[in-house]
Amino acid sequence: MMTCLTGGRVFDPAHGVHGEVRDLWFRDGHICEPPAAPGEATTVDVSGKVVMAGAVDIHSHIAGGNVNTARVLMPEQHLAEQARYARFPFSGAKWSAFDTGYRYAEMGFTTVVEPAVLPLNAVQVHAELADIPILDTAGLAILGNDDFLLRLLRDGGEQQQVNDYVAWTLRATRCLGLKVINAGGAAAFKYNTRTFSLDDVVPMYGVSSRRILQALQRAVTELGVPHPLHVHCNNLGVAGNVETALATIDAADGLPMHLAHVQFYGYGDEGKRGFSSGAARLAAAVNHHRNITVDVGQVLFGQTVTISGDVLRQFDARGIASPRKWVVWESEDGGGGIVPFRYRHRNYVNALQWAIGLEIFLLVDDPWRVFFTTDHPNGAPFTAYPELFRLLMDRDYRALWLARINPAAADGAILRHLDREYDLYEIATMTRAAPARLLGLTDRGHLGPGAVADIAVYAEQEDKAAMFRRADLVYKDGRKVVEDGRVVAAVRGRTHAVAPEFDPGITSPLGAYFDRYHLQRMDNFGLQPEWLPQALGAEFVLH
Amino acid sequence: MNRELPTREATESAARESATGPSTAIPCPFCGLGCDDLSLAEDAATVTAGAGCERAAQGFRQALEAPLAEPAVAGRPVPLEQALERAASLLSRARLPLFAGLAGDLEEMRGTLALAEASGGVVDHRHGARLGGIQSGGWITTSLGDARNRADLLLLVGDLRRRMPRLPERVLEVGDRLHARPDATVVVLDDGPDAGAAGVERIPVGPAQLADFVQTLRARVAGRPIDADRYPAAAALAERLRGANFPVVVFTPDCLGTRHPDLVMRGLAGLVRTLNQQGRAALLPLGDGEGEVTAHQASAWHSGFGVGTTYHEGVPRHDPLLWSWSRVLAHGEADLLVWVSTLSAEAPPATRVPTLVLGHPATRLERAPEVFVPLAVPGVHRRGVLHRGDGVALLPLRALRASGLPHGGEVLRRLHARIAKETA
Repeated sequence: MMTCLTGGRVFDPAHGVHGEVRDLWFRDGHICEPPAAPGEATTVDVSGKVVMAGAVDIHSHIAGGNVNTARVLMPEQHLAEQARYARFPFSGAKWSAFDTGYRYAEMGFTTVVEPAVLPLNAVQVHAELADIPILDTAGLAILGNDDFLLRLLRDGGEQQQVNDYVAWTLRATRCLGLKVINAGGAAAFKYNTRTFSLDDVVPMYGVSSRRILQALQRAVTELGVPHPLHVHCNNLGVAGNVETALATIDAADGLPMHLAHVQFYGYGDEGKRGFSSGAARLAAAVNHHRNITVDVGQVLFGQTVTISGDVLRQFDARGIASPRKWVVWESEDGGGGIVPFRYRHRNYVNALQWAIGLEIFLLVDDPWRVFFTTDHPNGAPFTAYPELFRLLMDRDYRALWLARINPAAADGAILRHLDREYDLYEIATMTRAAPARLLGLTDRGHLGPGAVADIAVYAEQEDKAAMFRRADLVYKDGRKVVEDGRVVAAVRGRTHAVAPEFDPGITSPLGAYFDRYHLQRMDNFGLQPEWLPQALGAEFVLH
Repeated sequence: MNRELPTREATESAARESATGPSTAIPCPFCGLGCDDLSLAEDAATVTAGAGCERAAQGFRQALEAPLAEPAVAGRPVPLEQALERAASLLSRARLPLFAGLAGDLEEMRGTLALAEASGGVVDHRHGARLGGIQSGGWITTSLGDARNRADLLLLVGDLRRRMPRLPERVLEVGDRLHARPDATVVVLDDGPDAGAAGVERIPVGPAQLADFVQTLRARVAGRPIDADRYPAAAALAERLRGANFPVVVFTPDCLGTRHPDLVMRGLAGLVRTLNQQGRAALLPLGDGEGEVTAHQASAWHSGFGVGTTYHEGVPRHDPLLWSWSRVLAHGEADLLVWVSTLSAEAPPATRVPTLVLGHPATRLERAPEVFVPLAVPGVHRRGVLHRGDGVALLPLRALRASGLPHGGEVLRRLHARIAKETA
């Protein structure tokens, strides 16, 4: 049975479609060509409405032990008054895996990537991802603080061995790409190091952060993994850290690299408070280096909880915990930290963080290389995306906020001088076409024939936050899942992963390493493909 | 949303398939240590658990030797469908069903949570909601593997070696650690009869003094003025903790041996926070096994809260004291007890409340419950997923031998489907 959405204004940047009125056909879960001859079809009139592919989020902490511990630490954050959808499971449980699916879907999102999968904890991540309704998901596996890699680099191992180890890890964890978090920082923190920069050396290994970063970046590139190395730099949140971000961009040496939540690295150390906007320098570097992509990690005001695998920085941030409780946890090969925080618009630093994020969005000229994240929930929960889109699309709205925030921050920022407004085409680029392309998910983020029929329809409104908060219609794999901003079907999603080839010779030193130092055997550590659907209820798509 | 769960046939075929597969590196689901190096003997009837782990040997033996039990209603054997029909009818009519036991794997926990939400019940693990003790202040923790590789001083609060027989071999006295470090010094806070194992230093502190001792130790470490006569051993221990490079404080809530483990845990968390001002230190809180950590974690991503949660208002409400299963049962608030327990054959407590037992085929039932559905034991009769006691790593449980018993996750899903139909 075919379905046709008729009369909508289609925004499909992957095909240069810029709001033209077109009919959109789909059948059996995929977009298709219009039929040659009229036949039986369901027609849905979306005249005057905005039609886009389902949105794709490349960086949102939605699963895994770190997120789950944050849930437990912060019960006051998610007390619920009533169930939102009586028909659907756990719709009364705010911040549950289930609620995550419902809320993303309401906004027209259909694919979300969990960017921090600690290999040791990968099974739990996949179990949680499998419990998120509607969305397709993927994870990025973390390396860079693991003893095996650091040892390999210390002992002069060859790049080919690093590549094999990375490929083995991606398969063992069933992930879509590779993430490095403050390369070497968590390992250094184990030996009581309290600050750690790009050229600092990890105690006991004599290996610098830069060396780890470059080895992993080369591995991802040489393995042909579509998503470039996803980098959480050193010195997150530290005044003056724009220098770290610029040095990291240089260290990428022209090869593809994705820098995550760069707002948290957009800080100069000028002015009488020693904290200033480095957005212009950072954006200029991104504009200049076309091998670099960034997501912003926008801060929006209110209570949230920061969740990060950057153990060293999270420990350092413990003093600003609000409410005053925090968790730091470590393990064999990395860990995490959870620090609740309230961003206040009258606070100089918080207000400037807000402005710096928006400045990066507005100063990076290529919407194919800058992404809309809030680093959920670090800058703000993902449910605040519509507010962010409004800020980007409406300079008068920005001006209202600039008049409300801390005046010194508003004066110190260049934001009030930036007139740019994103249009719907740029929003569609940044939220659909570009992220799908960056992840190597060629079957989504666009509306060409053959793409999955993940479609979001919005009623255009003056208030862009209202428009994007509740999609008029959302289809997932051709099935209607949202109508009038309400979930109407809770279908199951799939999890996407890559399976790069590697020399099986690596499993010999690796197996011996596991036997010697781990409490798990290598074969019990890796996820066995045939075991996953049964034991986790997960369905995987390998790319 | 319907989760596709394996059918009974699939479970059996998985068992057949892996029964012919490798019979080493078998994960053990019977305590929080999460060993995965066990072997299945030639006759496929016994599992070798390494040096002297009676707990594993007993767990595997009990499951492998369990008779093919049949479902029963009020003690009378019935086909599975009939047992499920009776169970669903009791669940549909219950005002406040209580889901307890929960000594199972992830699939059983998922099924239990879905059923509890649909029927408006209370969910609590038989060990209670003891892992949520961090809500008041947070803590700094590490994992079993990190403690094994890096700790230079391990302080065991209570003698965990009784509960985790292979703890010395796996974590405490391993001989081969990262960077060729020597084994850690082990100090045990315990006054139990067999606490003084050879080569282990013991400070005799009983459950009654534990909270007080820990507060004294914490004050000593922080350099606060304190009565010099209080626990002289605490002064020396504080010095050693401060002098160590990476001291790790290991405990399970059970080992704290007190009715108020929260108080001790908070004291230990504060102690470790203080040590981290200048150096490094960590807690290693471990679940006591029987699916405790999996129940806690799965509950958290389903409801946002750990166990000790009720769904009777349609949204999850969490209060570990209010929704403690033993309190709810003792006060007569529940009108149906659903006891889910495949990793332990222990029977539910005697109660006048009608009881459904979905559990181990060898469950020692003194009195026939309203409904008994014997289930496959995860890690023995079917595959499964279980957290290691530190909550970081998860074990891929194997199917070692076909049992003909149904999969607990599937049974719970079918019950869910039945009550969804009845209440629709």
